[in-house]
Amino acid sequence: MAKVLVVDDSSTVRNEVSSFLASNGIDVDTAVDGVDGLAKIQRDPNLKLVICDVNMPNMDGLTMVEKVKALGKTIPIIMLTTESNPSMKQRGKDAGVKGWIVKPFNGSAAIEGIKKLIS
Amino acid sequence: MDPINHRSLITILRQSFDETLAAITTQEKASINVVERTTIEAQEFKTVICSIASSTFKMNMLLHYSNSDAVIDSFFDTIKSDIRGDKKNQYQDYISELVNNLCGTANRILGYAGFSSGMSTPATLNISNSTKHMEVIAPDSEVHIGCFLEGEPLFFGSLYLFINKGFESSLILKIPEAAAECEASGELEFF
Repeated sequence: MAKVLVVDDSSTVRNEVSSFLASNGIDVDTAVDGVDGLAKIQRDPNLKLVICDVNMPNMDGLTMVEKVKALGKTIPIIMLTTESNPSMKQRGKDAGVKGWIVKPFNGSAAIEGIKKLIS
Repeated sequence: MDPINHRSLITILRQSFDETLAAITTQEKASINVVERTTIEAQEFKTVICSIASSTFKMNMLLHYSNSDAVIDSFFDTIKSDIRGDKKNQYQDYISELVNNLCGTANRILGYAGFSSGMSTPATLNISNSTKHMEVIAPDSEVHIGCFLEGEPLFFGSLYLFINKGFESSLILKIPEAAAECEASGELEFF
């Protein structure tokens, strides 16, 4: 089964997104910041997609994306964030981010795209 | 108080609450109304603050909330998410995320109106009379709204505008048009 990693420092967001994905038959793991997320991406070969916040303590989401790219990993990553600033999105594009969702999370608006990325 | 800026602040605050609550709650139970500051001052609240700043202005968005067991129970009865772990800790996390979403929506509306601004992360204020503190630092404009569940207050929001020195006569927020054009949140935009 395809597994999705949800990286967010807010337990509310981790719970909300995980519950929604699980209800759509998608296996989910969670990480609390970029450091935790990077470690899980490195050691779990079953991950097919990462959904990641931008602003987090210890390591922010875009730095995590840049480190994943530097490791040669090709796993698709989409950002889930309140940030809608064009310059922030451009930094995401440059780092290899596949998509951008502006919070609050609306599962029904995003699920088709998520399924496409893990298929 | 400039009437255009005042109307714009109401639009920003109301649309931020409408969008965020539509995403997290069963909407038919929640209603949002403009209130006077005195309504908030009459009650004991905790407050979370988030700021938006640009070269010409700063906005402080405050969420005033009670953490009584009755309010927390009402809140979790209304939102779509499951409760996991300690209810009070989750409520505190939820409130911070709520403010993050509210401020993010406000910042997005300002972006559509042509303003280039950035936002802070939410912080809990360790004071009981946050509206008095805001009054001391003299905002140029302020608006307040309440979120009610079946007539009972759940929490209140305040938005304060501070115009940077030298821009007092020239800064006009033309928000209603921008708010109507602003794309909804939650869509996955592919790169």
